[in-house]
Amino acid sequence: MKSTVSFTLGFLMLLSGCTLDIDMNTVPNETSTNKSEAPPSIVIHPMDENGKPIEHKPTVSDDENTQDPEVTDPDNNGGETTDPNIDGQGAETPDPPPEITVTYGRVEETERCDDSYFSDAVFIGDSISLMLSYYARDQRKENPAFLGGGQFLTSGSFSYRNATLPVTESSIHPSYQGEKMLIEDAIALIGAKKIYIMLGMNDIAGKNYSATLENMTEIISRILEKSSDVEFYLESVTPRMEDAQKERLNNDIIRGWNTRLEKYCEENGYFFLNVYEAVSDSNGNLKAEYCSDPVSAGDSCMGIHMTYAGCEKWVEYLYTHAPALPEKKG
Amino acid sequence: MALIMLTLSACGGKTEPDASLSSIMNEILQKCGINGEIELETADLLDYYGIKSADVADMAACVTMNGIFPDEIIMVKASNSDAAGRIKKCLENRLNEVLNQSKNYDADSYAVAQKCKVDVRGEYIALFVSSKHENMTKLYNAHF
Repeated sequence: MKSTVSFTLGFLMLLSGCTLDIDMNTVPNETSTNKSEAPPSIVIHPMDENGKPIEHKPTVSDDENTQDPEVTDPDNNGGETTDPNIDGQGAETPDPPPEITVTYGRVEETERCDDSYFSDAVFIGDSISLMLSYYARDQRKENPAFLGGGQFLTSGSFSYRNATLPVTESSIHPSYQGEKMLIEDAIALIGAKKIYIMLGMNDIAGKNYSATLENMTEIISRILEKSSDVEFYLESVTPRMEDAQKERLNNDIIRGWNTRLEKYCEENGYFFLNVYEAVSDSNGNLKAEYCSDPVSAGDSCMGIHMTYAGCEKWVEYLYTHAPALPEKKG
Repeated sequence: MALIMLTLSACGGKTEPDASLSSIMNEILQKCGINGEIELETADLLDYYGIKSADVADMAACVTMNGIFPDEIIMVKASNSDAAGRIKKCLENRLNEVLNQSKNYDADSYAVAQKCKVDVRGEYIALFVSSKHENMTKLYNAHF
């Protein structure tokens, strides 16, 4: 079951760990043209410790008669509403803000977003994402706004397990500005709001799913402790090439993880991005033209890393799977 | 004195290469048969190695992403001796990362990583992370 949260821009408030919702019973239906109906009543929904609604799908109408009672004109000392519809004095009413429906779990294809969508993003990953960082770096020579200038926190053989460990000389953590640090600290320093994570390849060998889920949950909790106002975009682990299947880590095991990850996202209110589908062939293997280290090229090749063509496909997937988000207030 | 001269001569002895770092890198890539490299620029060194641009007078670097043990060539001329010390530390950290990472994958890669080292000649610092590091080092040394 997908957790669905509907918002209307400008109508959702976060109040002390609660969501603020508008009671649709008081809101006229879509066809209503009456501009002077009373504002809707307010329902407060509890949120969990991660700031996600608890067993609730708050829905806020985009009806132009609804309005956020907390919105006041700062120049109006009386704190009275500035919405001309409320007091019936309104002459022209601007178009209502578009309804934004946020559906967690698997992200379906969206209209292609622009670069700015990623301006508050950080991309976390292992050596696969490291290649993406090189690709982004090169793209930014032509278009500095590519991927919004979003930061990368990547390290070869990085994993959820490694991310839980303290930083030591021998630990594996990404560096930010040249300093190796915990990702929750780096994210807080960056001030990122959209957290894209592609990890798991170095965790799930031998179907090590449960421990990986535990470590992932631990990392997400740590990130939320230091950066509460963020959205998580958890990316599926990408496939290996057909000739790179190993007993302990093959595409069946990867798909098994991705299925669990998708369910986890649905249940916990995170976005699931199935990058796997974007870079795989009809048999579910990493497309040969997207693989920079096919096994046929040498003994040390793993059949998992991306070429720039693969990165291009991956990035295009991100641009076209960019769920609209409500504007945050305050 | 003669002994010192002899020693310097045997080691090359120069602290300035007889070619630019970029031409040395091209020679290494060509003679070691490395393709598909991703060339790095001065501004990239901070993100990937923690090296500040102000510490760099000249550099040539590239990486490949073609296996468990990707090739990595970093040659830097520091802006001064203090900067050289900082860059050396950054590359030692990087080598340590490679050691940690390769340790997780397989014994062969780890064994190769253990043989790689940071080379310091005055203000020139270099690191070759590769299964071909011996040949790379030899080609680099020939320019000093």
